Order: sequence, then structure tokens, then C-alpha cells
Amino acid sequence: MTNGIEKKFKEPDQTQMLNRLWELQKSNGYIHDDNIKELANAFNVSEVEVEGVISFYHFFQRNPTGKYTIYLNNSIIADIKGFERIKETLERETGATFGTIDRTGTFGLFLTPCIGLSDHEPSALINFYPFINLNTSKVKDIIAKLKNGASAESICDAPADNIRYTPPGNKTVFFKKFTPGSVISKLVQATPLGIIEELKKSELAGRGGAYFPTWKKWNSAMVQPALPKFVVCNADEGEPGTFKDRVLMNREANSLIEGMIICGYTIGAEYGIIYLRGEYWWLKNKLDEAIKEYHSKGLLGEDCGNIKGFSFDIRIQMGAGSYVCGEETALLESLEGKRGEPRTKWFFPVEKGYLQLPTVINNVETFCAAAKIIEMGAEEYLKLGIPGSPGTKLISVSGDCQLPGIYEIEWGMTIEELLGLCKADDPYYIQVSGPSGECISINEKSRRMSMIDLPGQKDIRCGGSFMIFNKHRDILKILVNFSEFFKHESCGICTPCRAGNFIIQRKLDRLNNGFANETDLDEIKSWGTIMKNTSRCGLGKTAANSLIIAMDKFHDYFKTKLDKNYDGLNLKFDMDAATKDYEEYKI
Amino acid sequence: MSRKIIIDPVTRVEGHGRVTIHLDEEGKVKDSFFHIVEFRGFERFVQGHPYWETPVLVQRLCGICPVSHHLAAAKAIDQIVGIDPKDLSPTASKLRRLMHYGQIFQSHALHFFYLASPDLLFGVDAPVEKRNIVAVAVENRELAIKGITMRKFGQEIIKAVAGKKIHGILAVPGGVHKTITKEEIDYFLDGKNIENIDTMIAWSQAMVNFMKEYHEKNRKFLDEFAEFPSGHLGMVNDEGGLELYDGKLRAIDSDGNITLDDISTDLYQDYFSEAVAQWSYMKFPYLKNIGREKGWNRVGPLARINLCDFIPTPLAEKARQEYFGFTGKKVNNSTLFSHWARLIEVLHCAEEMKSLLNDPDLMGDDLVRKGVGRLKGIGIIEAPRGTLTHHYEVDEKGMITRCNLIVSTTHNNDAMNTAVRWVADNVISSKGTITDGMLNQVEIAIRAYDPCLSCATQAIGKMPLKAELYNYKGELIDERCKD
Amino acid sequence: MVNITIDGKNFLAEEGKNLMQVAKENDIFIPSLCYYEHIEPPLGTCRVCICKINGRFGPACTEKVKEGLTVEVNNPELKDTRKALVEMTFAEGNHLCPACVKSGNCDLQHMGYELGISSTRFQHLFKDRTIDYKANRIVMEHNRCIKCLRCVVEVVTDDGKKVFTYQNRGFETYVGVDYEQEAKLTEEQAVNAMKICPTGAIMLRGVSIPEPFGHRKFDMESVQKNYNDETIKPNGPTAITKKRIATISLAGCFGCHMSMLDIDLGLLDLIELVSFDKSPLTDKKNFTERCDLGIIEGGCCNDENVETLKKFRENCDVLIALGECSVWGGLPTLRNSIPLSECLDEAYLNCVTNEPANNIVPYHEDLPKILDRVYACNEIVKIDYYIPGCPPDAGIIWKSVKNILWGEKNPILYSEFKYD
Repeated sequence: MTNGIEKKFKEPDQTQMLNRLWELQKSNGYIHDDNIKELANAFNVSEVEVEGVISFYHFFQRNPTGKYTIYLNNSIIADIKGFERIKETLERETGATFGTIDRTGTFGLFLTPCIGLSDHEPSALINFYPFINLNTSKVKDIIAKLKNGASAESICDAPADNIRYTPPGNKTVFFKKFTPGSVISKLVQATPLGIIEELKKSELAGRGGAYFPTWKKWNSAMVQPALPKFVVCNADEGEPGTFKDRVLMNREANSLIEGMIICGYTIGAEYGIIYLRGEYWWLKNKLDEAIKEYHSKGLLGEDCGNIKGFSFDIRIQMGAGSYVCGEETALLESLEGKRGEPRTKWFFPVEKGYLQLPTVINNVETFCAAAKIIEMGAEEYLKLGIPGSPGTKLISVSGDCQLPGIYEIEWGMTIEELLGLCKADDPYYIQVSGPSGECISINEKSRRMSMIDLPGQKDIRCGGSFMIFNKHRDILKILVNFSEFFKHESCGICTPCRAGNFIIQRKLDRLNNGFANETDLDEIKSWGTIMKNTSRCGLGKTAANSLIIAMDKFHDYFKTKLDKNYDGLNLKFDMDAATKDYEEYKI
Repeated sequence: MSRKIIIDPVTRVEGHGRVTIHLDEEGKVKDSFFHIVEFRGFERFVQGHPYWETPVLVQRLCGICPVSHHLAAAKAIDQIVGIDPKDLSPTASKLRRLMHYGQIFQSHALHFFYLASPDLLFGVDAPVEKRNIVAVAVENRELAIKGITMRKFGQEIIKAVAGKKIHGILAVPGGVHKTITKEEIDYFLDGKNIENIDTMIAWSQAMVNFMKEYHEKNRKFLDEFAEFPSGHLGMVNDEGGLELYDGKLRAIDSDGNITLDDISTDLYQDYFSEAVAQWSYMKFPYLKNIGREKGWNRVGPLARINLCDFIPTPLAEKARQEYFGFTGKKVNNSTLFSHWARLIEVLHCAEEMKSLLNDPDLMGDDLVRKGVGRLKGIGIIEAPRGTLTHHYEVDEKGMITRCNLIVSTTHNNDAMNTAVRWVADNVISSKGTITDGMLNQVEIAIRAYDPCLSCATQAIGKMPLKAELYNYKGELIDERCKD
Repeated sequence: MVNITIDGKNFLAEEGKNLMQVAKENDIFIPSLCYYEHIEPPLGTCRVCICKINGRFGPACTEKVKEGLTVEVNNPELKDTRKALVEMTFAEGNHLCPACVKSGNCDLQHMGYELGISSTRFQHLFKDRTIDYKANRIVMEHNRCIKCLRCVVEVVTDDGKKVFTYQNRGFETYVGVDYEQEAKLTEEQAVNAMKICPTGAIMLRGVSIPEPFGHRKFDMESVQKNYNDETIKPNGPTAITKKRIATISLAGCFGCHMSMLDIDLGLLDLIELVSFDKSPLTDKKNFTERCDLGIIEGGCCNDENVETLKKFRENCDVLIALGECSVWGGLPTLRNSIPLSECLDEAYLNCVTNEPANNIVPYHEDLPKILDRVYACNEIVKIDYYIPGCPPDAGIIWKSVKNILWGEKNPILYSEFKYD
């Protein structure tokens, strides 16, 4: 069964680093130099270490960020929905320029990558509260109210969940009504091995996109002798275009919590942590409330659900603006109060994870699914989907379509069907699983979405993000946006990703300017492959994916971007640009 | 109709230069310019770098005379760690001198045999195909072998002390970081692998004799070609003798009167200014007390031989006396005599190298000395091409904050322009047809100064000097002072 | 003991031992920059030791040997990938070997030599980075840091505080120094910090080049049993006919040309086999005939350099970039992170006080225009071969030329293949 720890385990002080930084950031608008000394002393580390943590996370700033800190989303979806106009309007209305605060220190304007509101673009966070479906008049209105002293909280939006589709015949797995404790009550009869068997039968796999068999992960953790153990929920939904976890946490917090408790029971863990991305601060209350409710019902804490000897508790740890912290081991580092740099595969998290102790990390959707599967039983679950890929999947659809939002589909649905359901508008280029996934052209619309991953099999495995672009969108613009994103989010610890993303971006510049030739295209492919094969974590491994795939699938388009006069010997060189600086000295 | 003659690039020199000659409607020379077209920006980008890496970095100013820059920078950096030239250990001082003489030997040999000899051997009207070292090797194999071997000898000396022939490392702040072994010294003395130092001296002597005969045969042409008055600048030792590594600065005018009286090199800023022209990246240094128009000086062998009272080695001294005996003048202002003067210096260097090679101090073990750090260092040395100035300033943390380089060839900027003008006026002007041979003479004039044009384009950086500004026409527009 | 396979050969090894160590013990060379035996878990930051482990790409340094492990080290794709990573490291920083105290003792340079890297396939990025002089003894040269993480992990004060930590992230990552903690380091600890840094990024104030050429750690001998330089692949045997060569020094210091002349008396034999067309050594100012070979020294720093380079491409069958300056830009690129206007202003405007109206910067119809930065030759035209060095030794130059012109195979020695 489970634990038997006499003494309560205390997490080391440094694990509170991000929380302390958030306190300072939120109350003062930035981190003071004095704060750094204070924190260094508090955690017994050198000041440069504290500075290292602060400088890593996007939302921790060393300079004032204004009374109202505005983070405007610059994802590609925002871009096609009018980001530029909103940017201009914000600058005009606030008097600040992006990257600075205005003269009075009232407004700070900053850009930020996807904040999980792709179905409501253009969107922004003001003091970490959501403001969605922006247009110029709305922006003017908001700024006016803020100038009058309104708090961001009081005038923010409550983003709708936009659940557009569930399998007909009430076959939804995720959105069926869920009573807290309904699965915990089953645990009394179940054994950890039994739960693992159920999950194995259900073929549930990690819904963060890696699709690692969930039963395997929990099993590996279960057999670890070291104690204590941890259950961590990866709620760092950072892949642009993904917002399914946002909706789950808004609506189905209970099944998330229940799923974590089941995991704790199975592997023998006492502690659960939800790592919630900083962009979802506005959801924290809801989760806090849900956890409180579970406590009050005796479903969390000592002897959960009246199971003697099984204690489990959950706390929430806020992230601070870093896509790479969605990577398992980077997340663990962040939990430990450090920079979110992914670890090597020297040990896997199930063996040595959080604080070098056995840890299971799973996505929000995975925990929710686990709870639902145990509730309905694997056999029922297997009735959904297709053989080899049972069950349903949440897809977050956005872009050029009339009905952006959440689609719970049975595995096996074709791209064409999904495009029809969301009323896609002349789709041409579709990005599946976000920038780190793959791009498909409309010619591939007959492909199915499933977990089946065999050579020669043409199915697509989608992690959640599904971005649709019509024929009028510039493909290179999309790819450049992705490349910028990876460059911004790379953690910097390994050479191929840190330097590679920058190098690839330079190549894209050449392509954009019409200076590139076929050799450049070949080089992008070969260099992207090197990044894929050698990077330390998934970010570097997948950063060049879409680019490489797009160059094949949309080869005709890329050809139009090449230097038509390339003779194989003379590279195109912009002499005017190169001599521009010197020409300023012309008398 | 008026036209512009362009000679581009000037060949058989180091670096990039271009000559333009403007003719009016009648074919008379209106103007001529020797444009230096390179700009690399050493003085700016050296800032921010640590002083202990500087000698190795700045020697890459030039591939023919890296040693000059290495040693000048080393002298300046020595001062920054509190060591003046007299404070160096004997071993360090002598090793540096050996390297210096080796490189002057090599550089002069290179210039004479590889670059200038075609002009001397084949005459000003020789066809293009002949004007190169390959033709010399074919026509006069013996001479070519001598020249190549002499250069090789100098390069091998450099390699023995610095580890590499080009861009080696010998000097570190306050001294040197290696000595030379007995085997390496014997290599130059025993003649087994390469002709020994005595042979080098004999060959140098032979070349000096050759030049004397050459001048006897072509007296009028060589006496008159590009002869013009100018100052001469160089270094002398305490007794007024020729000094190439460390001494005092002396300048004389075209008649031999002293214009700069054996001043310490540390005071160079008080005496020199540099002017800027619109049409060249290289600046124009001159002595402040005389002024822009007449205050510029020639540097290099011609100047050094002119202003020294004697040469401290016997054979070279004899050669010097014969040289002045030949001209009968106190000071020699004829451009093409540079070659002869250069060969006298070759002989001098060979003699100096011999005495150093036989000096046991070379193998000593006192290599580096330390003093009290300073924030400023100045190193002035006589490079093969003339007086070379390196001046660095650092902050307390060791970062270079300011750098000033006056490279030898910069001093010769006015001289070369004047020489070009002379040829333009006397050979090209109003001649109707301009032949290739005439244009060749322009280059022959420039080449006599053995210009190192890549080096010379360092004319940037903060200078605590007075600067005067001239417009395109050479009219003084303004002058400013900054200390 | 367990059985493992490396490149098809069987080996016995201690179970759980690091694959890198096992390879080393069996004389199999796997290059790496950040692997240090005593650091556990291994740093795994450079990714240079990439191999195929049980069919999948993975670094050798984080692999613990177990029964049945199958490793591929030396297939062409892996070799090229490893080379690419070292090249990427060079291109990312501003690594100027000629001017660096660590040259000859530098791990990055060493890998470059072992892998025969004469040029990088990546354009150098020339990011503007500073040199941090603020600490007590340590001077941090950020241009050279390869972010191996070693100093972060190993340099710790006696009371357990870190002296170095990464700051920022992604391409902006750099190693921050804690001045307060650094001051607490003993002399020995500071010297150790300099020693453990694989490149010349951590320097000690005032400490200059320790050993002369030829006596430094990586100067003379390769660590590989069969060092095989494959950088210059010959064109194939051709009859020994007289060839035409053209040479030029663009923005170079002329040192490479001088090094060409260092064949000394060999020149007399050479001129039987080649004739020189346009070259600073001849008076041919323009191409008179098409040339078999063009040798380019120096990178491009003004518009005329670019035009000249293009002319060379037009008139020569094969182009060699000779020396660091033409290969990637070399020493003149030290100005690449400084705006041109700053260079010119400092030279001609700021050396006097005020009155900008009266100050001139040289600008003239007969002067070439200076480019905004220094460009490597392969950014302008296709370059066929690269010979590294500053300057390259005469031996490597002429061996390569003979290889290219007549297919003569002359292996280039490890001791000849140098960057400084």
C-alpha cells in the first residue's frame, strides 16, 4: 500500500523561490535589487543564483512594469486576428511603447507568447487578468477605465469555454457530470496493481503530446523504494494554440484533483503539486476552491476518503512565463526553485524526479482521463474511438474557422470531418500539435487523427493544438513566427537549440528577403535535422520540424521565394544595405 | 579634355593603395593623390580587450612586420606593468633584440629581392610580364637564391625565438616567456642546415657593394628621381648612433638641422599632430613646432641613415661612410637611395645578430620582471619601415580604454604623395602619350618607401593631440586642440 | 562485466560504467567538449558526443553501459553531425584563436583540430558580448564561453556558495559572476577556475600566454590513433601541366601571402609548375587569362573587396579561402559588434572637441565604401576550399594546392593544422 512516514516531509526552502518572487513582482511591479540580497540570504544561495532565476522567467522583471502591466499576446493566431492594430492602439492610448512603461508609470506594455486564449484572439493579460476578443474600441474603453483607477480584476473578461462538440449520443468522457469522491470510493476495493491494469487496458497515454503509456509511468514509480513520492500535474499548457487544459481546469477541476489522488494512491505518494503556468493566474482561485472543497469533504488530507493510512495533499505552484517548463524535467527544476533547464536522461523522473525522489508527471487531460476511465471502467472506454486508439481526445481549434473552441472527438475522426465541424474557412495550411508538431496541407484532409503510430500508417497524433490557416495567409510568416517563438523560449543550456534556433532564424530572414537559393533550403533541412537528433529536450528536437516538413509539402511556395538569379557561384548580396552606414558620411 | 589616370592597385607593396593623377585639358598635371583605401579599425576594437592579450592581437596589423608591432606593443605593455626598457632582464632584452634584428633582416630582404629587385634589374620600361620575382628567379638565379635564403634566415631566427615565423609570440608583459636553446643557436652558427651568420654578413656586404656599383652606373637618374626636401625622423642611441630597438627620437630637416632633439619616446604626444584628408583613410603626421606644410618627416632606412651620427657595427659603419662619400651631401633626399640605405641596415642587422647569437645571456633564466603598475604605456620602435608608435591606456581593471597607433608608413604619407607628384610633374605631365613605363615609375617611387599600407590604416582612435583639418583642396579649415 | 557492441565490434565492460570511459579505454575516439569524468550526473550540454545508442540518437556521456548495449559511433552521418555541433559552437561565439591566452590549451580548438574543421558551415553570428572585468581576480570573456556549465557546477566558495550562474535564457544566456563570492575564492581556487574552463573564457587578470608555440597541450599530437585529415579532397589525378594561379589579399594583413613565400627555395621549383597571373607579387593588375586557381587572403570590409572577390570567382576555376580572415572573417571581425559610425566617429570626429560641422570623415569618389561589418568570403561567393591558420603554415598551403591542382595526396599533419 502506501507510506508510513512518521515525520512530515519538509520541502527545502529554495522550492519557495518562485513563490517569493511572485509576491515581490505582484506587490511592487518588479524585483528590487534589495530583494535579491534578501532572497539570497533567505535561501542561503549566492545573489547571482537568484538573479539567474529571475532573468530566466519572462514575468519576473527587474525594472518597473507599471501599475497596470499589460502583456499582449503575439502568437500567430493573434497576428491573423488583428494583433498589429491592437498593438498600435495600446501604444497610442497608454503613451507607452512596447517594452517600456509610460512616463507616469501607470502602464507597462509587453509582448508575450500564446496565453491559452486562441479562441478569443486578440487577447491580453492585464495584471494577469484576461482581456479577450479585443478590438480598437474595446481597448480604448479598457484603458480609459484603468486610467480612472479601476482594478484590472474588476473589469476583466471571463473567457467562455467554447465547448463546440462532444461525441453525439452523450458519449463525452470529459464533460460528463462528475461528483467529487466518486472514484475515490472505488479505491477501497481497488489495489494499485488493479488500477494499473485498468489503465493498461484503456491504452491511456500522456495527453501532453508525448503519448507515453500512462500505466507504464505509474508502474515504474510504484516499484520505486524511495520515499516520499510525488504526483505532479503539468498545467503549463504552453504550446501555442492549446487551451484544452484551461477549459478543463475551469470546468472539471474536480476530475483533475481526483485523478491526482488516484495516482497518489497507486504509486504510494503523499504529495501532489499542480504546476500552473503564470498565464493562468486567473484560474488559480478556482483550483484553490476545488481543493478546499475536497479537504472539507475529507477527500484530501489524512486518510483520504476514509482510506486508512492514505494521506494525500495538493498544493499549487505557479509558473512564471517559460514554455520550456512544460517539459517534464524542466518543470521539476522550476519546482525546485531554479531555472527551468531540462535535465539529462541520466535518471528518469519516475526514479529520481522532484528533489531526486520518485515523481509522476502527467498532463491535466491525462489525470482527468484517468479519473473518468476508472469511474466508467476501461471496458466502457474501449467502446469509444477505434481499435488501436480507443477513447476520446480534446482538441483546441483556432484560426481561420467560424467556430474556434474545444472539440472532444473520438479517435479516428478525419481531418476533413473536424474542419467541417469547426466550419473552417478555405483551409490550406494546418498546424497540428502546435509549432512543435507538424504542418499538413489540405491535400491530406483524409488522414485520421489517432494514436496509431506505425511506419506507413498515415494517421496523425494530435497533442491538442489545431491551428487552421486559409490560402491567403503567408506560410513563411507563420514559420517565422514559430521560429521567433522557439528562439525566445529556448532555455539555452544546450548548443544545438540555443545556437541552432538563432541560425535557422537567420536563414529564414534570407528566405524572406528573397536572398535564399536551393542550397539554403537544403541547409535548413540538414541543420534542422541535426537539431532534432542532438538537442537535449523536446524543444530543440522539434523546433525545426514544421520548417522541414513545410519545405517539402509546400515546395512550390518556397520556390517562389528563392533568388531567381542564383548561378551557383555568387550569393545574393545587398550592397546598398551593407554600405548604408558609410553613406551617411557623404558630403 | 581633362582626365584622370588611375593606377589601381599599386602592386608589389604590402596592402592596398591607389594613385589618381588629374590632368587638365592640356595634359598638364593638376593634382595627384596616393589614396590609401583600407580601413580596419584596430584602435577602436582593441578597446575593451585585456592588456595582456594585446601584443599578440595587434601584431596582426601586418603580416610582413608583425614583430615590430609585437615588440612595440610589448614595450608599451611593459610600462603598464611598471617596466621600462632599461628594467628588462638582459635575457629578455636581448631575445627581443635578436627577434627584432631578425625581422628587419627578413623584411628588408623581402622588400629588396621579392618586391623591388625587378625595378632595379629590368629598368623602368620593362614589360609587365617581367616585373616580378619569378622573372628575377629565371634571369638571375644566384641573386634569387641569395635573397630567398636571406629572408629564410631572418624568418628562422624569428621562429627560434617566437615559435612561429609569422605571428609568433615572444614577449609577455615585463619580459619574454621562453629562451632559445643551444641547438637552436648552433643552427645559425654551424652552417649545416642553412648558410651561417657569417655567410649572411658576407652576402649583405656583397649586396651593399652591388648597390654602390648600380648607383655608379645610373648616377644621374638615381640622384634626381623624386628628390625633394623633407624632414627625416628616426631613433638614435644615447651617443647618437643608429638604434633600432630602443632609443631617443631625433628629427632633422632636409639640410641636416636638428628639428627634434633626441627626445624621450614617452613625450611623443607633445611634439606630433596628425591631419585628416577627405581622400585617404591614412592620416598625415607632422611636427607641431614646424607646422603642417613643412613639418612632415620621412622615416625608414633613408631617414635613419641620414640622421644618425654613426652606425655601431663596423662593416655597416664603413658602408655608411662610403654612402655619404658617394653623394657628398650631409643629408640624402633622393627617394631611390632608400634601397641602398636599406641594404646598409641589412648588413648592420646581420652584424648585430652575430654578436647576440654568441652571447650566453640569450639562454638565461631571468625572463620576466614586475614593477608598479601604471595606467599608460608608450612603446616606440624602429620598424623596418620607420618609426612605429604604440600607445595604450588601461583602467585599473586591466581593460584597454584607449589606443593610439602611429604606424611607420603613416609618417611617409606626405613623402609618398610628394614622390608621386614629382613623377607626375616630371614624367607624365604634358607628355601627350602616357606609356606603361611612365606609370610604372609612379609605383617605383612609392615602392622605394617600402610602404606597409595595411598597417598604416590605423588612423583612428582617440588622440590627445592637436588635429588640423583640410578640405579637398588642402586648405586649412579648422584646428582643434584636445589634451 | 557485460557485453556491448560498438560499431559492430564486441567489447567487455564494467556494468554501469559511463560509455565515454569505456570508449576511451578501448581507444575509440568520441569527441566531446563538456564531458568530465568526475562530474556526475554528466553535464550533457555540448551534445558533441552524439552517437546512435540502440538505434536512437543520444549522447554517449549520459549512457551507462549495460548488457547488450549497441552503439554506433563512426558512421558518416554521426561524424558529420558531431562536426556540425563543434562548428556551431565556433560560429556562435567570437572565437579568435590568434588573440587568446588559452590558444593551444583550448578544448574547443582541440576538437576543431581533431575533427579537421577548417571552416564552419554556419555563418558566424557576431553577437555583441562584453568582457567582464569587475571581479577581483577573474576576467570573464563572454565571447569565448561555450556554456558547458562546468564552472557553474564546480566553482564554489568554501562556504558552499556558487560563483557562477547562467543568466537570461536562450541565445541571450551568459554566465553571470557573483563578485562578492568571487572575492572569497582563494588564489588556488581562482587559478583552478581558469584551468577548468575549456576555453579562454575565464582568465586571470594579468596572466599571459604560458607556453610557447609547439609546447602547448594540443599543438603537436592528435589523441586519435589514426588521425586522418580529410578536409582537402583532391580533384583527382591530372597530368602535371603548368597551372595559372592568381592571388589577392582583400582585408588581410598579408601574413598569408608571406607564409606562401615561406617555402623559400621551394619557390624556384614551384615556378616551373605554376605561373602567377593577377597577384600583389606581380604587376598584373587585372586578369589576363582564366586561372586554374585563385587564392584569397582576407575577408571583405569594403565594397571593392566584394567586387574583386566576385571577379576572382568569375575568372578562376577553383577558389581557396586562405587563412582565418577569408575563411570566416578573422581578426578584423572584432569590429563587427561595433557600429561603423562609432568606429569612424571615434577616428575622425571625436579626436577633436566640438564643431561637428567642420570635421570630415574621409569620403571620396576614389575611396571604396566601408561595409557595415566584415564579411567572410563565402558570404559573397562560393568557396571551394578552406585552409585555416593565422597564417597557415607554408607546408599546409602548398600541400593543399598540390592536392587541388594535381591530385597529389599529401596528408596534412595534425601539427600543421592550426588556427593560430
